[in-house]
Amino acid sequence: MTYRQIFDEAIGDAPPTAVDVDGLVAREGRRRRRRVGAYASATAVLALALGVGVVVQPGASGGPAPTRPAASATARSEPERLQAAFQAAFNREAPDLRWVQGGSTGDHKTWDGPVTETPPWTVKPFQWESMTGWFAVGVAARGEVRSYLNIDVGRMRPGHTPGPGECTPGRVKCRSFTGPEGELVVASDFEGRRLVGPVTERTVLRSVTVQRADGTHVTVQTHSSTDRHLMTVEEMAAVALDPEIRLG
Amino acid sequence: MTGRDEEFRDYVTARLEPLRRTAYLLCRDWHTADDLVSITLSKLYRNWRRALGADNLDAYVRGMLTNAWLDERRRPWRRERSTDEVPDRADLAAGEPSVGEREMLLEMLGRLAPRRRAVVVLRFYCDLSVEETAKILGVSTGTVKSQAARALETLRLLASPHSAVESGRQR
Repeated sequence: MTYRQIFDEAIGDAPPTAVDVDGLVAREGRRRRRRVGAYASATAVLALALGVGVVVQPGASGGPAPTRPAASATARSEPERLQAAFQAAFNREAPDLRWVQGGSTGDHKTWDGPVTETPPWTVKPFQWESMTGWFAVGVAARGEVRSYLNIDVGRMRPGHTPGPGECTPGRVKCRSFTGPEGELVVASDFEGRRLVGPVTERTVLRSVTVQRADGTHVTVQTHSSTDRHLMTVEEMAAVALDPEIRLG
Repeated sequence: MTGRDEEFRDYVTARLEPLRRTAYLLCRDWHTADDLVSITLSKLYRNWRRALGADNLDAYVRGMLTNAWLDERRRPWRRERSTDEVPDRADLAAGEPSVGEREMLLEMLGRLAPRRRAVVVLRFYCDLSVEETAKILGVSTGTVKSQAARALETLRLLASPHSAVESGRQR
């Protein structure tokens, strides 16, 4: 086993990314064109002052700002629709679920804060090498249990295939079954250990993935701070099977 | 989208996940990792032509990422306490690493001082040479070697098929 493999094992599956490459290119591209435009305008003014004939092509610099790509235009309404769908599904399946205000998924010390009924998350796009889609993540509370909670919906990029759809060795508990529309549902439980000072505490992780016939994947994941799961497999599967949670 | 943008986008799309994972090893928080990758990519876009002239573009970008993390750590709200002490918790239980062992490895990595952690990530995860690592961090090759050697001792325990980190695995 190489060191890289050891680290990759340690990192495990990455959550959906919040890095918006399309938005970044559009934003930085506009900034770059503005800089180029400012330089061209300054050059033209200087040329006039010096009596030199310089022709600045119309539109080369001061043209209208580029329109946003189509994907970004649709992005304005799609996250709102998905956010409502996520919230409705969780409210229906786990009405006593609450959300930790100011809870940071990476900092357990913030998980004991006050709770609210409305998830303080926003739906964001993710762009994996193999899949694109939308996700929301937050810290949820249910009774005494506090947990990381992530939901994502996406589709494989062309030329990529999903990983093993069935249960594989190494999981504490795993079962797969078929949803009402023929969806493949895989529910897996994992165990973790968390160092709290010198003490090692047991934590539990649960992941339910639904693979639909149209290629859409919906995954709900929890990682509790204790040895009790936040939601049952049935509740998580019902959320992931919700037909309203789909790609637009 | 211009040809420059497409070229940049193609490169970033292919490297996004490895960059995120590298960032996560450095900061051990996915939100911060995404922030660091976004910062790095913005800088990379602005310096794209210069970056294309680098001998090793991937190393150049990982250097930008590492320095973005070191810069971010200097900000008061991102400070965290670090120590050079790496707890060795090896036992002789054999087998594949469990989720608990993974978390333990990340925990150990997180206890390294920032620059030593950067050395470990650049050398052992990104597979950069001693010279490339030294250049990125602005230190001598001797410093990289000595810092890497100390961290290596701990990692060897995990690399061995007959060793595993104590985790109370399921049997």
